[in-house]
Amino acid sequence: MNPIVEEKIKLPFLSPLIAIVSALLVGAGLILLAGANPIAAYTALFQESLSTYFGFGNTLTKMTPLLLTGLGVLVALRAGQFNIGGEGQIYLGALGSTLVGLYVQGLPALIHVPIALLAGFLFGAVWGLIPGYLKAVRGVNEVITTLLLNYIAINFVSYLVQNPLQQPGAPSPYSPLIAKSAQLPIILPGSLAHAGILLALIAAGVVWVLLGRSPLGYQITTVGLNPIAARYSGISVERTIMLVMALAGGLAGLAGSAEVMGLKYRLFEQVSSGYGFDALAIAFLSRGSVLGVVLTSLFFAALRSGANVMQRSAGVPVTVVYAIQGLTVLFIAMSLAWEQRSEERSTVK
Amino acid sequence: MTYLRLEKITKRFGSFVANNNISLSIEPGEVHAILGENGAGKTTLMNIISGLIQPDAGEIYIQENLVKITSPNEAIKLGIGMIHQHFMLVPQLTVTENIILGIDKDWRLNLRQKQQEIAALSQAYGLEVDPTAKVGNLPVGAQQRVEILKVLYRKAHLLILDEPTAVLTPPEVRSLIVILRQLAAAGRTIIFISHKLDEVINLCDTVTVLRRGEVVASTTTVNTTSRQLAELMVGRESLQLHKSLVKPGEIVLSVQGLEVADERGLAAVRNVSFQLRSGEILGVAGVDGNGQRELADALARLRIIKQGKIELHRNTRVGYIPEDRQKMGLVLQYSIAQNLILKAFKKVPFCRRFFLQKDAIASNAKVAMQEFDIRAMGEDVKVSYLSGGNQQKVVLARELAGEPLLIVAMQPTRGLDVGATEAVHSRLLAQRDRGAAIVYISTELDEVMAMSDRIAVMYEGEFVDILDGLTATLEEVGLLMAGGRRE
Repeated sequence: MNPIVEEKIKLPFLSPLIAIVSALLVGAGLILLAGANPIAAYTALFQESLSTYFGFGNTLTKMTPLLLTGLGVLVALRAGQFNIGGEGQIYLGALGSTLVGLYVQGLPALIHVPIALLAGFLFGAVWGLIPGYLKAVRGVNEVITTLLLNYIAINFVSYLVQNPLQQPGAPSPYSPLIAKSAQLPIILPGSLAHAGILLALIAAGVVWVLLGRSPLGYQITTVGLNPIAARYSGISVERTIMLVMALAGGLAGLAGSAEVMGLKYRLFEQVSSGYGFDALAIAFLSRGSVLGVVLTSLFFAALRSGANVMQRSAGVPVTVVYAIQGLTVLFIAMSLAWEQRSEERSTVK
Repeated sequence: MTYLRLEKITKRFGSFVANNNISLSIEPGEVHAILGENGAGKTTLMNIISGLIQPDAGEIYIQENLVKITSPNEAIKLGIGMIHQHFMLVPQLTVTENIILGIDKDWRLNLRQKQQEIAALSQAYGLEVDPTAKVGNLPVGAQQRVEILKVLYRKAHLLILDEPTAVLTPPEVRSLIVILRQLAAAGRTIIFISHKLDEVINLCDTVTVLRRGEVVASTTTVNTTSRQLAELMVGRESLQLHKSLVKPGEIVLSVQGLEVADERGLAAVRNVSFQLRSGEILGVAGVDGNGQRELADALARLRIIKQGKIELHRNTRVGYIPEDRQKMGLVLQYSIAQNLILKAFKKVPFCRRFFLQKDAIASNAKVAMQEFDIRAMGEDVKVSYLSGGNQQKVVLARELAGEPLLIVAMQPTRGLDVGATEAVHSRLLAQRDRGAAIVYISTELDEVMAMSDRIAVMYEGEFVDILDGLTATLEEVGLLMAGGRRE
């Protein structure tokens, strides 16, 4: 019995690592095909994104929405729900914070910032609660509803910034600047890094405590692992699902808040460049571990922020980075399938 | 000439002998019943005939030719068609599509022609079904006819039906019996597996009774009675338990005119009324699927009651040992300690000031492991690594914690070895002695007999009778279980 148990403890950390390394190796092949030196390319990429001051600030900026949305996907996944709606929830969160940043004036930052964040959280939470309600009460598959709600959110924000929210006389669709008191401070002067990353790390801590130490986390995990046993033991599976989807939406909403309040200071048509979808990969790669989400979102953020420098200095197209991201997901899916099969083999006696 | 002859078929699973030296022969055009309790070896035998598993010893003859049935495909080639209790149909496809699935090797689908073939086939045997209907929209009885058509379309001469009436309503059962008689008259040979005596007597020509993997009798139905068959089916030395004299106290549970529906919305429990006192065990005997599951769920307040009342003394907590410990009773990926708090994780001492208390959860598990003799390396071992007996002890430890006044135990010894079975029994008897009222539901007749102070026999959702545990005989209960009436 012991060897099996030990193997189980090691694997969650081992296989994402193998997946990332394999993806980088295959990515190296692609770089070779593109006629460049993979070692030089990777060096440029990670040196820029992790060891230069501005580059690292950039990495932290990109890590913020990835981490928050990744946490949202992770929380939902714990209850067995696939939240593909991170993207839409980011848009709604951005909208919520923008509204508070624009229309609430004359507050000290100490009050204005929390209210704006809360609004972002609540807007995202509502966007998560809709599919949660439909799943729990009506039995509608959450994969479809969360996915479709993305388009509604994106187009809704697009409509708003082109019409009622558009800054008068602006050359392209965007809103006016939000109040200074609702802006997040820069934490690395001279770079883009803003306090959103601190918010994201605090959120990671809260989620870690919630899932690992609180009765609610136990309840969520029980529903995810065995809804029949959960119902038998008196847990309301429906309420748990609604709660968890609202929480997931709220976390992704905070990602939108951080983009508006820390980076752009206004609402643009393009709030997120696919962070909601990268978050899916991040959550799956992390296999239910909060620490895993932190590390993986740092990795994905580094890839994103170093990509341009790699293109400039090593002559490798940015698209190689997208290929590496895709390969990572592919390899983690393979390792999951492989594990499942070996588990089946070990249970069949 | 016999159609099917088995010679000394033996099958072992480890040290367990599922089939021991089974010989039987069946004439063409005969309807032959295989009768036996749960675990008597019926399913193993049928799996051997239909090629799913291989016997360790023995020979199978079809029309006096020795055959080796190495796979289900081979069985189909030999003209053997199995109709499972749980249908193997694709609900989204039509009747025709289901029937031709897997055997249609033509390049062109030509559904219309196949529909005509199937319509002709169904008319020839009185198997009324619309070939163009979607299977998912058909009632269960019609789906079963599709299953029968499926094996007939594959030119089966020997039809094996595994407890075909378990899922049917009474009118559907009557029409099935007519259909099977017609098929036999047309020369097909039928093996009918059941534990319902009246159906066996009504439908079948001959009957083989299995008990503990052996043939205990082979006879014709005209030469026997349902009472004799019941005796043959269950007859054995009875289980003895050390039980103190019953001292029933106040009424803990009172059930009046209870009606509960199953997943399909049909009444699974009908007009059940009884009272249960503290310090008393009410055994519920019955063949699997006669409403026991729905009754247990209703008593544990996990299922909505359609009619009637369940009154609990002082709204006591119900300790509920569910039938399926792996699917319902436990979260397999959780540790022993985590499973033990499943119903109390929000309460002190496991949760204080909004946080789970690791130490309290661990020490609770250590105490429970000691008290209930749960054998594992530690309280943080996942329950999926435990044996069935130890898993059940985890469920017991959780459900009996806090000394509930009412305990509902559903098949609590299923799949357990002798030692673990004994542990479960003595645990429950100790609870009874301290004053708990227990509803003990089992399909193992000897267990119910040994455990119970009173025995309710459940048949088709009703309590057909409630007998005194001291005076009831095995034969009496066995007969009632199989739908027979007392003279």
